[in-house]
Amino acid sequence: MNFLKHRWNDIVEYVMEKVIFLAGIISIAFVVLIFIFLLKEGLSLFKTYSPFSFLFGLSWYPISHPPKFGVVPLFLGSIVVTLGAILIAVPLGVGAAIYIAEVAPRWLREILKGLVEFLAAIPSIVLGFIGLVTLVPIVKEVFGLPTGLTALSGAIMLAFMAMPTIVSIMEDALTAVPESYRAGAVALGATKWQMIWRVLLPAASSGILAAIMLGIGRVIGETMAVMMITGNAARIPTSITQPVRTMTATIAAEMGEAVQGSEHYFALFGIGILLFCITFLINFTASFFIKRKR
Amino acid sequence: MSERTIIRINHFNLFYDQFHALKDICLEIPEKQVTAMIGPSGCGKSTLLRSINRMNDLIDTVRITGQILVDDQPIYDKGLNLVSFRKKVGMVFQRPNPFPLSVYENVAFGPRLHMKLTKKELHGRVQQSLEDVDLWSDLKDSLDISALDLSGEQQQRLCIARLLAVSPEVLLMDEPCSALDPNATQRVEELIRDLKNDYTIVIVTHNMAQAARVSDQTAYFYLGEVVEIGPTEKIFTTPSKKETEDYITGRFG
Repeated sequence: MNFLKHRWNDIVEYVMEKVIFLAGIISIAFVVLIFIFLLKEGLSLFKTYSPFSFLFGLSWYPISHPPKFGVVPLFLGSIVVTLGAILIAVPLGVGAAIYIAEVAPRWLREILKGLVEFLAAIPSIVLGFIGLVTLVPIVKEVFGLPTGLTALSGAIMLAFMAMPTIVSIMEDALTAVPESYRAGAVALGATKWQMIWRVLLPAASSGILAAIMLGIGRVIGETMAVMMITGNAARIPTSITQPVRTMTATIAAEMGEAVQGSEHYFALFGIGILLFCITFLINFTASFFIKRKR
Repeated sequence: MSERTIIRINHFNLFYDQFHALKDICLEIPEKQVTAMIGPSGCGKSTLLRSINRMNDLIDTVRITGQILVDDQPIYDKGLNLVSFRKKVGMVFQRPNPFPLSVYENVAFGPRLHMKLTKKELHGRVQQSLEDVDLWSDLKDSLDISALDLSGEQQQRLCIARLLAVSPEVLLMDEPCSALDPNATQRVEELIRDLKNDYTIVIVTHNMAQAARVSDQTAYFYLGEVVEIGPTEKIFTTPSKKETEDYITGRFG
């Protein structure tokens, strides 16, 4: 009896070990396969189209003759929208994080943290829809534009999507600053603001940078909401109040009409590789800052 | 040696919520001397030290009655300018707490808050402060390194230099050597004896030998009360209270 029980345990042990191993291997395999697929499809473009014209071409006309797959307008579209969003989200996010971590009374702090997480839980398509019916007309009115579907509208809306990430990571970073720094600064006669500005922010700087990088990562990868309100004109933007089209929106909008295996199809995967490289770089930088903190 | 009283504590009571942590403390601290506060853990000595710098203001639940006067100025008055008051009364903490900035920026921190100095004046002040704590010769070529890369002893010296840079009158030290090894402790004690020539020092310590070595006056605390206060020599040789003697001879505490 006892002997049998032992054998049963051994079998369970053996099976569980294999199952867990398999689960681990499968997730790694998926990542590798996706990456290989992305590379294979994307790089196929360069059999017929020069990488130089792809990376530095100034126009994206996939259905002209001959087609033009210059990624620069899309890249700039993404950059303008992302930069705009970051310029709005970072100061607001930093302010909110400082307020939550250092200034707000305890009861309000809990409420605010809850609300920030609530903001993170709103599906991006819903934010996009709300943006389309409220923000877009406002931008059109205020700037007297022919259309409110502009990079600016996209930037404002994306700022709200990036805020929860920025605020909650930054708030963690500020809370993690040792109490002794605060005591030291206060004992030297620093006011609360001087303490925050001269001690807390430098002490939490790597966490703050990580928060900003992850916020950028969130913004640059966003697709549907941006597609809804940036106007989708694939041309080089000269002002933030013009319609633009981002890299992500291009893939989403054109994938349905591109013939599988065509040059256009491969070009969209090429954009995918470019996006992948950008997000990878951003996440890598963020984790570099997070590690440096420890 | 001057005998002017710089800190006067009058019937001072402090409560954490319901807990009566300091009971009717009356103490006088003479200028340019070292006053040691000893007693078992939880006896209120650190709480009193923090009260002299109003650091207990950071805690919401603290309530006080009575008054503490520094240079005859009541520090718990509403009209007190906390910023310039804390410039006058500086605090060294149990664990060295340099800011995560460069050595130079740590020392320059206080002057930048309180004084409008030219670059040259600031540099002179930083150098003078570091010289006063015997760090200048070791660190003059590495003022840019992070203060967190210094040894524990250097960090604690730096924290003292950081105070000296704003020309305080009183230095409050909360077990300044408890995170240091014996050799470093000995050197910091020497520094405390040197500093006494220019500053009034109040030191809280668990180490009775340290109190005996560095202080001129010693106060023995027990359960939130001052049991006995007097010249250090007298407290350690012929204490007038039985409780003090028990504590000092190690029968208790």
